[in-house]
Amino acid sequence: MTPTSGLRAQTIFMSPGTMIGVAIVAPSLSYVLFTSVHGPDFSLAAFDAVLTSALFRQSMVTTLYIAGLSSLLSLLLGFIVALHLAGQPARRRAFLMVLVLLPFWTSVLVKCFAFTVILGREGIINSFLSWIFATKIQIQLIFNLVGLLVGMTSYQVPLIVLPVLASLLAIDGAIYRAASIMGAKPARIFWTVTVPMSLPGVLAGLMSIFVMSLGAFVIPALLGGPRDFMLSNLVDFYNRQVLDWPKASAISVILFGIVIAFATPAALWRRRKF
Amino acid sequence: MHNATDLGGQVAHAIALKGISKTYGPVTALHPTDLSVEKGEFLTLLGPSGSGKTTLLNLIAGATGPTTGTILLDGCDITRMPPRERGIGMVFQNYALMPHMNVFDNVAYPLRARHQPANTIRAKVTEALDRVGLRGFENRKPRQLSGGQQQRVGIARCIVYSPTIILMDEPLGALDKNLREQMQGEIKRLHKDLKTTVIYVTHDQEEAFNMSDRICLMSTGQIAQLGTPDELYFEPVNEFVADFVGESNLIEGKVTAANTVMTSDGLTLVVCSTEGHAIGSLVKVLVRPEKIEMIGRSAPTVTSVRDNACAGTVAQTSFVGGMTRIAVRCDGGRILRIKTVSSRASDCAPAGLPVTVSWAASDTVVLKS
Ligand SMILES: Nc1ncnc2c1ncn2[C@@H]1O[C@H](COP(=O)(O)OP(=O)(O)O)[C@@H](O)[C@H]1O
Ligand SMILES: [Mg+2]
Repeated sequence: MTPTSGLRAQTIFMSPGTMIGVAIVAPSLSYVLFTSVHGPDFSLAAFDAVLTSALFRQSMVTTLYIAGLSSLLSLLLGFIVALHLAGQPARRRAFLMVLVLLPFWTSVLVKCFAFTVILGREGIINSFLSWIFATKIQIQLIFNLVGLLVGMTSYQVPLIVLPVLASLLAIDGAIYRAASIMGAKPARIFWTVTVPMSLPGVLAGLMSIFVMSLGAFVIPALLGGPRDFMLSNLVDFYNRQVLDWPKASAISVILFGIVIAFATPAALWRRRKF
Repeated sequence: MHNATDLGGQVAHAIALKGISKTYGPVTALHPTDLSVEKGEFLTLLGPSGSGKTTLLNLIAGATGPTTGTILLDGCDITRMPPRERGIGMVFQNYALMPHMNVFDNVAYPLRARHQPANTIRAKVTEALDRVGLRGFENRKPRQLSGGQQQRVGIARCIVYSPTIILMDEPLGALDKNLREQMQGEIKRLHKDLKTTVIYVTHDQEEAFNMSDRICLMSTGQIAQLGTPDELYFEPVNEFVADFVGESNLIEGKVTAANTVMTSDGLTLVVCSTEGHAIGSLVKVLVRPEKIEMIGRSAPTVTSVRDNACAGTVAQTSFVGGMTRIAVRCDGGRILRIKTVSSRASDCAPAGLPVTVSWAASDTVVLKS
């Protein structure tokens, strides 16, 4: 394909996205941006107030920390899942893929409720442990970091399995055969072939789940503890509790900026040739 | 056979397959097969696509396990041994280089897997790259090399750990014709220098003939014939071999007496030998196109009288470079294909020219019909 025709094809496929972007996303974003600088007259007071507030800074750290930790955890789990899927015959893989995607197609609210049933003080896990050890066990698994990470990873794993699996399937089977004939043990093959050759998919996937989890709102609200306040929750707080819309908008704009800052290199990386 | 060492009365071949077979569900990729390869031999597995060549090679390499049979490497049973412990080398059709590693790291891979010290690795990699003419390319990535250069890396990576047996699965299949011929010469030279055993897979008959000590011609998961290129060409055991190895004229007939075959249209052929064919049995007589002599019937002198002759007319002439193919329609309708060294168009036989074709009995082979 010539560069021009490629560009044209790209434009056609992107046009619905562009239209939605222009018609729906852009006005609302503009409105948020407008609100953030709107006062009696143009002012950056809301940004100033937000950036100097301890609450904002703490939420910011929490957001990056939770998003980073849950993304790495999801990568670890997702890589194992993808590795297993890549080793399956095609038909079995298609079936297993549905199982991986099933929770992804389920509403976040439903999933969160399911996790309260599983992880709660009287939940399935605690009941089971109580039954095993024949004493009442009530480990706190929810409304804290554990619950939050469980919720976040369950949301992110399907999203990272797809690009990693694509990378793994793109590795020519002859390379594995060559490596083993040349005397490499499975562990060496894993570290010298599987890991480096799936790196493009891993990085692309990692970046996209990280960026997506920066804006997490429902999961920290329902499964996290009071200290796991992420930026979206802060926006909600200013929006509905404090009714300080300029500040809420300023935080949104900053969050949007952070997302763009991480998403742009990720998008560029994906275009890079391996 | 030739130079196998004697180990306690047991001859140890470089590799010996005993009753080895492979089935994939209902598909039989390889029927039970026996095959021995001598030390230092260059054996080619030749055959059409799907005849089981790759399967056989993968069984030797250990990439797949056999359904039945045993594999002996230097007299030791390696049937259940994982590939990494066999110490065999392999060169792949699509190179199978590590795309993220440079040439040096690719060639060093098998040495690192063997935990050799860094200076040994450097010396051996340099020597291997020298042998394939790729010194100075150490820091290139495979994608920065041409197909021929990539395959040289593939070969260097294989010879760098001095395997006693090298398997090559259509290593030149992705290269164009000129480069292929050049690389054939290089592989042959490497084989001579290194004195390793090579099992080479190709579907290209010329390549097989050019390179091999022996050829194992395969068809539908079985060995059709195993022998020297000479034997395959001049003594094919059946019609498949005759057709696959070079061009052939096959004339159907019935054995009527010793060394005599009669065709249905009454032509009596004198053949080399009818040994193994009972009188009255149906056979096919093979004559190679280049063994048939053609004389214009109007020619003033008949230069030679040969065992078999038949009159006809030229049906078609095609000039294909060094050789000219001529189809002669014999009286009675049979078409015989002839191949001669080309001469100028003005000297060529025009279509319709009455001719006499003849061939010697010693240039025939009688095959089962
Ligand atoms: N993994 C496999 N699964 C099923 N059938 C296979 C597999 N590998 C090879 N075959 C079948 O075995 C036969 C021989 O294949 P192969 O050894 O690759 O032939 P060649 O290398 O001579 O072209 C073919 O009919 C092929 O379809
Ligand atoms: Mg093959």
